Amino acid sequence: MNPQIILVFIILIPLIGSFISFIIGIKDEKARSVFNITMTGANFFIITSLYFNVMNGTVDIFIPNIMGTGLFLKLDMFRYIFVWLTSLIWFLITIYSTQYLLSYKNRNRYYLFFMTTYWSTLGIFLSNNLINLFTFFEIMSLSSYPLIIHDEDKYSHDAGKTYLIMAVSGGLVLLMGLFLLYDFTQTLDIDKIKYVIQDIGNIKYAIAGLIIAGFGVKAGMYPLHLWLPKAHPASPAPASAILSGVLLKTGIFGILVTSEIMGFSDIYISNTLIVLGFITMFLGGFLAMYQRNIKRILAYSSMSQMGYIIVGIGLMGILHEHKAIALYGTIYHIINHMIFKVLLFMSAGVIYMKLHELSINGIGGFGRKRKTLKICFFIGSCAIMGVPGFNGFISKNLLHHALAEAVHLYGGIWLYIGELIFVISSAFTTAYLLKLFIAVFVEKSDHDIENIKMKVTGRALIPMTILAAMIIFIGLNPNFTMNIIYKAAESFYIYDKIDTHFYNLENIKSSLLSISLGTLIYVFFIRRVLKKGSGENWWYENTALNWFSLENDLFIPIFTVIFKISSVVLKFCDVGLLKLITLISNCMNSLLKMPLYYKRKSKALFSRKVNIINDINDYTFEYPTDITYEAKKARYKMNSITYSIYIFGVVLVLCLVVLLYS
Amino acid sequence: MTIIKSFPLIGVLILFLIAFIMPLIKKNSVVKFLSIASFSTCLVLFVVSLNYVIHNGSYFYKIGHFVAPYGIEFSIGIIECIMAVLFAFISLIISWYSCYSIEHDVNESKVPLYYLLINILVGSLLGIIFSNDMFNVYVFIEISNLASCGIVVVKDKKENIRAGIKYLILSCLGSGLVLMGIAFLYSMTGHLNMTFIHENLINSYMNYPQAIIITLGLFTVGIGVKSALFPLHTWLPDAHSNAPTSSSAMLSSLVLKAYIIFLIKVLYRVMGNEIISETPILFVLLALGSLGMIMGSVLAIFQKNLKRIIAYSSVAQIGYIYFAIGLGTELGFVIAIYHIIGHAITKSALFLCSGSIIEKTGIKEIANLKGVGKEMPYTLSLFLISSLSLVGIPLLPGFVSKWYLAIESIGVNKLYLIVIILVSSLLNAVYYLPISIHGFFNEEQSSSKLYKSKEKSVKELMPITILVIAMLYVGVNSEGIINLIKTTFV
Repeated sequence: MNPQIILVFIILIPLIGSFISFIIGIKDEKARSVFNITMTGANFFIITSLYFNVMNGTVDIFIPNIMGTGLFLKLDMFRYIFVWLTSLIWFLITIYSTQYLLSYKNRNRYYLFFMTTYWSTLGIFLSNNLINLFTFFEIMSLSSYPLIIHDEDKYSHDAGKTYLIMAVSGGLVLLMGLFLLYDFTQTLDIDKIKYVIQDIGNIKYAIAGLIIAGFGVKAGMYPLHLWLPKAHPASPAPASAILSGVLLKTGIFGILVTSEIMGFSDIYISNTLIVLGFITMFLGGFLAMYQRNIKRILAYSSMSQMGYIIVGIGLMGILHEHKAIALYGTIYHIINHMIFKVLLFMSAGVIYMKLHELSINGIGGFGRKRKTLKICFFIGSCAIMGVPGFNGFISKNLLHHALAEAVHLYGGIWLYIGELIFVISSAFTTAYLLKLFIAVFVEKSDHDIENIKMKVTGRALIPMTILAAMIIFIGLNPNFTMNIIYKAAESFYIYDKIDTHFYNLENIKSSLLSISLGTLIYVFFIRRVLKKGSGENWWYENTALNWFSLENDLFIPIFTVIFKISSVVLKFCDVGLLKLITLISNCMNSLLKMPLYYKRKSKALFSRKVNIINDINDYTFEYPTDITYEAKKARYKMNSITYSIYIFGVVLVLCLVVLLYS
Repeated sequence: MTIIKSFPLIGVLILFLIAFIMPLIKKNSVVKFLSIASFSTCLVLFVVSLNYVIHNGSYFYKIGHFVAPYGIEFSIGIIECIMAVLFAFISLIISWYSCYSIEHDVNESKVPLYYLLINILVGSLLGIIFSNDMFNVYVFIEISNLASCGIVVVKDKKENIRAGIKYLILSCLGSGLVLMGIAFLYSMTGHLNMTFIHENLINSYMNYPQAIIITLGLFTVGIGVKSALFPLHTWLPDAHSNAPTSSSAMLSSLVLKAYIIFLIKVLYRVMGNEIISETPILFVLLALGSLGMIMGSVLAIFQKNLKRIIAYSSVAQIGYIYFAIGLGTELGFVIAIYHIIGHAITKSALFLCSGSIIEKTGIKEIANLKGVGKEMPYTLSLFLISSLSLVGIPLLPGFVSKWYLAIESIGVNKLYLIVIILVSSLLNAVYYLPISIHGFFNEEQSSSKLYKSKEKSVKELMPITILVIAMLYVGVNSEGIINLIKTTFV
């Protein structure tokens, strides 16, 4: 079959399938699950079968006359990585969901929106036209909302509200950026923009700011990350997994495309990205240490990892011809994060499935005797920490090398601080994962939940095992992945290859350095400061709860103040207009009623006439009159035949004079 | 096909001939039937000739086998035919409406006389529109003059006679000026046929710079007084508010418009663009039109009598037409014609609605008409729709005119004119909307049935409904009508 046609079918199959599954689900839930698994599986295999086509060259297709500008899809290796991983993860999570959701209500609604999110996400990664991309992006934003509020309790509605507000306003900001972009460049084709972007002057920064902010909301970039730690714990575990594993990457994809493929990146934009990336990385890791909810720890961890990726994107901008290593690191880390974060969320889901509890104070010691779960979780944790032998090790090292390259090239205190933050953040990663792992899987506690019987079937465990295997595989065979990434880098016009001997002493040393630093933080900070109680009766405290909260202490007050000020201003306009009209009408009224005094002679003459008409006897009548009265009189006079003829004559003469002498 | 060419003449003749049969007939119902029959025949004839003109182009129709400079001729073009269809349509509707209500206004013995006058009036107005001969037009003007005064005084009340005399005197002054203008033209060119005057003037107008200007001034003021151009409108409120309802509608929607068409003919057919562009005449028309747009509405705000409000609103709307002519561009001319159509339909609907309200309640002051919408909802709704058109609500003809006028004001680089249009619309809203609002939403008075009035029967409301539907059509199909008018320039 023609690969171009397949490109359309990749989106069409889940698009149609989401509705079919909904209809099937009304009748028979079991058939619906089978259908969904078959459909996502089939889609995954179709996408896999495109691998050789993409390896040989780019596949693209343009369908005119739909979606306003026509649908322009493109698949090169860079996009293929995203598309393939998305389809794989969706396939695995669909299998996993069939078990996880058994205790939930409204399953049919969940699957409808789950599949809608699926095809719209694929659409984002495939579209080569910004309007197509934006459309899919908005569909994805809105269709993931029902996934977040699936529990329909107070907390999830609260989280959903935050998510919805940020997603919609982010979408509008993005749209504003696209409008400006189109206005100045007259094109929305992603590939063409880079040829014209340098000619539009400083408006470029406004456009880049708007677009990156719009995507940054989805990517959880500081200070737009607020929805992220709220929405992840609120949604069911499979939804959290795709939120963290895939949806965050759409934002990253957007930023990457904007800055590198569309050619926005220059020294200012890249520096901004690097600074924001470091803040995101540090803050996410730091706050993760304080959290007790296992999913919230993972959510902050996601935020921290997004920070690594954003720093990578920023480094590409400032490294110029040496940017290859930053790009490889960025893409490698994207791949890794998609895999290990999904694995960790699935593990958290397994725990929640049984206990309906996510706080580590409540689930301490739960995993001591559950070997498969323990191993999966351990592999995932090691991967994030960057332990040699796991995939995170490779990508973190690549990013670290890129950072070292920048330090080497430019020097300066700021980049040293950056490198320091990089190491410390990695140490934080180790610390919070150790906290999580030890609390749940190692330490004994008095909750007596170790021996609760749990039936976790293969449907939940097999996907996790597959992901765990992939982590090891990618970690041990970096060259396999690198070959794919080399191909992907061609989209960025990078053809350099790098030294791929990752397992040398220096790399392992730096990795172990941050791991041991993290262990120290764990031992001396987390266990000493945050952990309370003794023996088997222990609990963690979250002292960060009372800290300055960006949302409650900054954003909400700011918007409240803006709202109040604008309502005062608008009220001022509103009332002011009414007052003005009243004032004018009062002025007119008093003007009309103002008494007029005639000179004595005419007054006497006038008084006699008035008296004859009105009241002959009243000689003490005061003679002031007012404008209203005079106007009435004038109107009455004007209506008489004599005055009409008089006016006629005047107009005739005036007209002729004007015509003759102008 | 030659028979179709004579349809306009046949139409005019039918109206005149049938008019003089009417006094001989004893039964009023037969007279009414004859009137309606003659108008419907005319409507059919003019629709056919409009169709003919659209397909075959305009032509001159000579009357009595004498060729042009010596004989009289009609000039039949698209605009003339559109106007003829409009006049026949509206007079048909108005006479249909009057069949049910004329006895309330006019003594029964005078009904045949009334219909005679109406037939003569419409016939002479059509004559003004068709005729290509200056003196012939003058004769028709005099006939229409007398006939329109006649339909005002036919009511036989004191104030009617007063208003009628005032109208007659001012009209006669106006006719006198028109006659003087025609005399000037004749002495300059030696012709009375418009085409020949134009050909002659083109060659010789440099010789009479002052005389041309004076002629234009005489025509402007003379026709201005007949078409109620501000400040020569003083006869209009009295005449319109006191006349029988159907006469008011006829006067406001048709009589004023025919004179304006004549002025347009004088400006563009007799003088031609070349001559008028060298005189300040267009500026004078623009200034007087703007003045009328504002002052007509301002004066209307102070009125208390429902029919006087609508009469003053006519002054404002005539201002719009002069404004459009005064812009002096092609689109301005087109909008003048379009506004004539839109206003003719709207204003006759408004007069008929207010006539029904006054007839059923017996009250003329709007202050006492609060809550009337509860008792006559359909009539007041029709009134509301028509008044919305004059206020300028999109889709209705009033909005279309204002929109294009605003565009054309920008086109001729006179942005301040937009302010005038906006202010005038605002003023229109100030006096029209309260009537409907108080009519529908006045709780105090509607709680008790004050007027003991009943809604008119469906049969009697049909003419007004048809007018409102026609108005909606003109508004919605504005594109088509404007394009049709534009074809005259090709």
